[in-house]
Amino acid sequence: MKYIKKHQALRMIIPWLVPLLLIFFWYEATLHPSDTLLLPSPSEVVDRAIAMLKTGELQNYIFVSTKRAFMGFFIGGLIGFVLGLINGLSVTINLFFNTTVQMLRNIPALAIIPLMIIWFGIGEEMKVILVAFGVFFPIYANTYHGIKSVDQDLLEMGSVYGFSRFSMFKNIIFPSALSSILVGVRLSLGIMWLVLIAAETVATDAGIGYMAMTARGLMQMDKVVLSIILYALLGKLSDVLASIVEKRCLRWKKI
Amino acid sequence: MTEGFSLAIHSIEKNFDQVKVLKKIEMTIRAGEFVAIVGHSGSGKSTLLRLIAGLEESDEGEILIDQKKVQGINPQVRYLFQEPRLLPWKTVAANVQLGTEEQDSRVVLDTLEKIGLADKKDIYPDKLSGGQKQRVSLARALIGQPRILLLDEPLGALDALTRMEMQNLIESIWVEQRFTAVLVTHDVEEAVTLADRVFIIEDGIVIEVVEITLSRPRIVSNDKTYFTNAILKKILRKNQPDPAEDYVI
Ligand SMILES: Nc1ncnc2c1ncn2[C@@H]1O[C@H](COP(=O)(O)OP(=O)(O)O)[C@@H](O)[C@H]1O
Ligand SMILES: [Mg+2]
Repeated sequence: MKYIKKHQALRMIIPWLVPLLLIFFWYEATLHPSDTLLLPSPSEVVDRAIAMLKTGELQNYIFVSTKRAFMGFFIGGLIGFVLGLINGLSVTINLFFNTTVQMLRNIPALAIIPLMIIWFGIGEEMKVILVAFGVFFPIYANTYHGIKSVDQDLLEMGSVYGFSRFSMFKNIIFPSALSSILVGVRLSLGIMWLVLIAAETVATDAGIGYMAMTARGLMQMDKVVLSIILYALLGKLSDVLASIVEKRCLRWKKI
Repeated sequence: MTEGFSLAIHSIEKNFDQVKVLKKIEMTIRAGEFVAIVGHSGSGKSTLLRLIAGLEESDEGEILIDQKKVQGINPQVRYLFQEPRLLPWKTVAANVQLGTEEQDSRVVLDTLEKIGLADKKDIYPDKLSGGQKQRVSLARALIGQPRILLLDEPLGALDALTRMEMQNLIESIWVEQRFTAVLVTHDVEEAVTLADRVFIIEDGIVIEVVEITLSRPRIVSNDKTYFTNAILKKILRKNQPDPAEDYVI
């Protein structure tokens, strides 16, 4: 254990051993040419990726999907954050909104897909709104909870030191809610891809989900598998991004 | 050097849900004096400090600081809580900075030097011991050069040795800065070590004031026992039978 702790390089490599092993088994399983009808070999998928990169198709799909995901994330996240903030800070405003939010929360994002398609068609709005709807609640709930659980003793300390309302917020309330808010961000990043994949698979004209759906129609299994791998990589990437942000913001915490 | 403010407490009463916690408290504290308040827990000591700090309002009576009536928070009055109440997301220096409007980092460093933690200025409170945290909290209270320092059992959670070091530190800073200090403690010996006068509070009134006539510093003085015993006797009087009575036939 000690050896592993000491060596940064080892810690970077070890998490990837299992995925590598899986790829190896995948490779093993597709050695027989007859097997590759339903499961393409890794090399076929790589070839497909390279071919699609050359035409620029792949980059375009990734770009379109990522843009949708993050636009929805920012819109839903911002609304969730602001609403969580004001509901956490004001009992009166909370009384106005909380019941509504709790009711909306029980609607799965995927359940409103039919409504969104009718209202907005299968264009960009529908997917961005769906993602926004999905990420809203985790960020709202964690922001609200973070603000509600601020240590009263620290607030009292602030008032002894004559903190203004703004200074109270900046120095005490926000930093103490931040770790909870970031938990919400991390949760929503997972939900963000989940909702987007579903939305893109149901109805779309571009993006990774579109790529998978058209490939399915043509039985291009390598393309289908490629799209699944892309989702896995993008999900992992956004999680890494979130943990970097978390580490930077919560430097003061004992690790 | 700043001078302390005088503190006068007149007929203070405070109720919580129909229960009288403080009834007619009278105290007159001279500018620059160090007084201690002792009494059973629940006797209203913290409530009294909170009233002086302006964190709460009394139901009756008035409190005068430097002859002016207390109305809300006063920047000349600082409060040292039992817990350090440092902001964990700020470094030691930034925490101390909270105690003053002064932006000059030199002032923060000077104050940290005074409490012996200058080398810890860039560290987060997480990494400090209990005693060190309480010292940072003391620095935050002192950096604004308060005229009155209220201490609510600030050393209660520390081990005996650290507590003695802290008593020394508090006394030496008080000797130097001459603010008025009001220390609430359940440790009678601590009260005798630090205070000029000790107020004994019971059931919401001051039942006794004991003048401590020992010379300072008193940390290792043997004569403390006399005062400690005298005060303890008064506090315990009500709950324990006088041993002499047992021998009456
Ligand atoms: N905010 C409050 N609301 C209701 N009761 C309180 C409040 N603050 C203190 N009390 C009560 O007042 C009494 C005195 O409390 P306190 O001043 O904290 O005592 P001490 O500091 O001497 O232990 C206790 O019985 C406590 O329960
Ligand atoms: Mg108390």
